[in-house]
Amino acid sequence: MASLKTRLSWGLMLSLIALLTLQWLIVMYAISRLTENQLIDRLQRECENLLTIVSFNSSDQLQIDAQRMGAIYQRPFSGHYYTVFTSKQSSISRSLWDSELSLQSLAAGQERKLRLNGPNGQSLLVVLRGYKKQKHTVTVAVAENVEPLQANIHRFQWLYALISVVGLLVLLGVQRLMVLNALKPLKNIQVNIDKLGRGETSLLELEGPDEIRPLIDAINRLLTGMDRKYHRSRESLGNLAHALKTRLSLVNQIAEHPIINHNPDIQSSIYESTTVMSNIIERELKRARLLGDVRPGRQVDLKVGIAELINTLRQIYASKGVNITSEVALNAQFFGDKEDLMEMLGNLLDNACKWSRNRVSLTVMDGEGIFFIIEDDGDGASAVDLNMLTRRGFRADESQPGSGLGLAIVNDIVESYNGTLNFSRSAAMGGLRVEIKLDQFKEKTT
Amino acid sequence: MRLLLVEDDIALGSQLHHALKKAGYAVDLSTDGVDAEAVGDLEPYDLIVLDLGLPKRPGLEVLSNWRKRGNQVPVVILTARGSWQEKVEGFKAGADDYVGKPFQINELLARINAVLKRSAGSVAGTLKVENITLDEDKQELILQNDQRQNLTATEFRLLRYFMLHPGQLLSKSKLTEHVYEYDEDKDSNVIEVYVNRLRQIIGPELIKTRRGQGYVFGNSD
Repeated sequence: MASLKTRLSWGLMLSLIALLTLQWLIVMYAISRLTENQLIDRLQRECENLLTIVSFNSSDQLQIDAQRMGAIYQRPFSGHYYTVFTSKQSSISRSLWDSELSLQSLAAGQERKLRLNGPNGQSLLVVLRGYKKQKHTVTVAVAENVEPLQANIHRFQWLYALISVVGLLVLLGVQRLMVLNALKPLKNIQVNIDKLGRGETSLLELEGPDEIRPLIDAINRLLTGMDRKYHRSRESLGNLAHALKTRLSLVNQIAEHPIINHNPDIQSSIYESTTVMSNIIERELKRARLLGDVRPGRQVDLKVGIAELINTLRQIYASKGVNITSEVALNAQFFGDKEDLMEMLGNLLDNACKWSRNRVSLTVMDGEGIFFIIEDDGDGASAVDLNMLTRRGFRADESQPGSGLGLAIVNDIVESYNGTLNFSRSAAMGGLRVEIKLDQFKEKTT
Repeated sequence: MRLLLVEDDIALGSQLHHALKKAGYAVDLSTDGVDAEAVGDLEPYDLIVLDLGLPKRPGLEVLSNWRKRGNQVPVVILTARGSWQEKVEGFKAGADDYVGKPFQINELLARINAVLKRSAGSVAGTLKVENITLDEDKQELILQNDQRQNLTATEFRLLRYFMLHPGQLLSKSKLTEHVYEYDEDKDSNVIEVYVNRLRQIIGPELIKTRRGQGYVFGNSD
């Protein structure tokens, strides 16, 4: 579908062109009619003037007092001519020189207008009138060269057309500006929706003309509704998990009862079941959170998040005394959910701390996307096994000692960001090296 | 050692209460945030086990309120909400350790033990002062000649408190506060009886009496 702007522009342009052309035609027609009528009027008066100077002498000779008709008729080819003739004689103005106008005589009281080719290729408008004077039927013709007049009219036509075209262009320009201005709120909404996508805002700004405000209102209502639903379901999932895990703790406590305590097999199978159940709850809870996330793309303060996380891990592993170092590239940026980042790095660093002798390092690098590299100096799980595990897909009930659930959750998060998770042996530290690459669409600088 | 257990689930709370007592701690139980915050400030607990999902006031708020008022009692958070974001928030609010539900009692006891030792300034591991060692799992005393000696619950609590605070002057009332639960009959004279019983087991010179002030454990001076 063509843009609104183009459609509005075309509509306006075509109607303007039609209007201006019609106007031009009418004006041109009116002007040529008016000037011709005026000219004819004048020629008719000249005919009458001419008649007053025509006379017949006693021998019926046609006589014209040419001096009274003005100098213009004396100058050869001046463009103003007259002819007077009867059935037997004729007389022409001196301006006609040696050329002749071939005209037919008219009966008294008749009048004709006609166009003729005159001397020197002039185009003449002729008015012929028949009179009765001194008992003679006289035909009087006055002609004028219309070329100068037509040239004037043509010049005016061009000027008028030029003004019309300039006017059309100016109007189109003004209209374009108006359309752009009118559509600006839409552009604003688009920018706002982009922001929404990146999670920089939670609602659209309530600005814009009356026609667009209902749209913004409707979108905002929808957003609020979705947000509320999402929060409610997230909350109820959290509550469910909380309640179930508390009950599982109780089951574990009950398994401590002397009756069961004396049957280590039963006790350990109870423990195993509660662990698996808790893992399933945890994994599904986190997976649901990943699926339900409606506002990805928020920029997370990497430095602060990582510092907090490492502080926490130092406290958790205080008795082991793990030395955790981190290096974050200056321009590394993470767009996403902070909880995802914490969960991903938390689980991996926790694993690293668990398996390490005493050194763990986290490196964050910027490149095509963002890289997180976690290394330790332990001799934990084999990288090949772990790569197999990610390729095969994790299951929540996998009873990998210690690391299964954490890695499964990390895998879910990395997948939700379309990233890759890779395990290898750390050349620098000797232990496991985990590398995560996430594609990050940097904020457009438009 | 006297602990405060804050857990709103009645069944789990009473089970844990029982298990912690069995492990040799004097334990008070609180079931809501407001009550827990007040008791935690009033009573001189050695450690608090704090559930985060509490009625009336959330556990995190209770914890940060304690820290704001300068109450530095060690706190082990017990919660079913196990995301790293929440762990980070817990530690930021001032927790000393974090145990996710569901847990096995041994795990919780090990964490409590480690935190208690860390807060007392001693290295984690077995509790060994001078030439005597305390086996905290079996609540037994191991003497110089590897001879094991059973202890009663109160003797165990008292000796552990002494061993975690060597060289410090401990008044009778302070010992009473840390060895007995809130609603137990507190008679500070009974402490004298227990101290004498301990002296019979570990020898008279390890616990010195400062007349009118209290007791000092160890050969620090």
